[in-house]
Amino acid sequence: MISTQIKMTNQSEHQKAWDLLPWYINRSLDPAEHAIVKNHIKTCITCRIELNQQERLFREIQQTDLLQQVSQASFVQLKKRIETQPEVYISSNYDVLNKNLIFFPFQIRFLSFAKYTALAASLLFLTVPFMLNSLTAQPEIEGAYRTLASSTESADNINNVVRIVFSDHPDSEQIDAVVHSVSGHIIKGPSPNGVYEVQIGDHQTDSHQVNDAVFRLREHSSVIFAELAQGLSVSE
Amino acid sequence: MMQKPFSSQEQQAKERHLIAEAAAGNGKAFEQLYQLYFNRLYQFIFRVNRHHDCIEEIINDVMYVVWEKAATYNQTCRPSTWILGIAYLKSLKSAKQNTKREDESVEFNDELDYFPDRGVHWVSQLEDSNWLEVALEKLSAEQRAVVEMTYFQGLHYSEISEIMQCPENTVKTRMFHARKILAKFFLELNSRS
Repeated sequence: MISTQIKMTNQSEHQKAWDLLPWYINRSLDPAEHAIVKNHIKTCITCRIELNQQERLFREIQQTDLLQQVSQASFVQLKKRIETQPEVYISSNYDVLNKNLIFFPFQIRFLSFAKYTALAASLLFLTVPFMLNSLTAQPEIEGAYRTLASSTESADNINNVVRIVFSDHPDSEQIDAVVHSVSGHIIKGPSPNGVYEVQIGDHQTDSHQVNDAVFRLREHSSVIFAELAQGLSVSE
Repeated sequence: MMQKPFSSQEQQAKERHLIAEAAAGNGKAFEQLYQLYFNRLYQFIFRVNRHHDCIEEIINDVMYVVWEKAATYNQTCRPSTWILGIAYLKSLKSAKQNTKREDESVEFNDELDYFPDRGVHWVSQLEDSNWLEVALEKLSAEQRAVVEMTYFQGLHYSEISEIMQCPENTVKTRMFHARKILAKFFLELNSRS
């Protein structure tokens, strides 16, 4: 009976000491409780083992860097998400990632190309008026293209050239007589079509004299065609 | 053994003074109190609800209550008991909301596989560097709160019962079950070493 009571007392003391171990470790127990635990662990191997484990836990919690905890907890969350992803999903994501890695630089390049092309076109468009202005202001190069309105020295030379067609194939003396009557001389011809080119006077002859010569040639009976060479087609 | 500086009498007197100043509308004193408690609350809230993404929001909720109710602080209990009591209720509420959200989410239901008694998968997670976090993850929010308040905040079980608004024996029981679960991790760590 007495031994049973002692055993129950010991069991009760052990349980109480065992329960108080965490607060024994953090030194928050009042002196009476502290003494109970201190005396008990001297003789209880179970409580000493538990005390060692709880002290280890206490040290870990005290010493652990909170930021490290947060990063570890975050990584655990991430790892769970990675592990719970279906394999197909991971591979499809991987493909998308690779596609992005491959095509994204190309898209950047293409966008850059389009952007710079548009910029160049805009600049070209802006410079067109200046380019046209410089072309019209540029002096005409000799022998280059010119319009009928252009006034050149060479044009002056052909202003007094007349093309003539004689009727009934007159002899050369008659032709010379007609040409000399208007102060002209044959510079070319006859062509296969019987066309003569006759220069009236010289380079100082004005347009009125040439027109008068053309008028008199047309009145001559042996002339069936007389016209200024300027303005006629070359094919005659 | 180490003793946290915030459990000293001098520290408690300083905190009481700051709460009194805050009650009088002293914003500077309140800011000082906020800075004093920020890391401590961060640690505590993180231990309870394990969701660090909402910790700052909870801290501000807690300190808003402190600012609003500073005049009602009766000076009989420790300042930390009062403030951590508010933090505990806020954290527990947040933890329950998070748990509810997780239960509704298929994606996060697999977290349950990490419990030791659900298989051997958890063993692979038991690295020396993070064994504590893996182990604490297996406890309930209430059990973690008791472990945290005992081993990090250095509180007596009577203070913890006051904070958690439960009998002292409930605190001891929660600690008992927490130790039983943690003992499995110690056993694994010891067998590895």
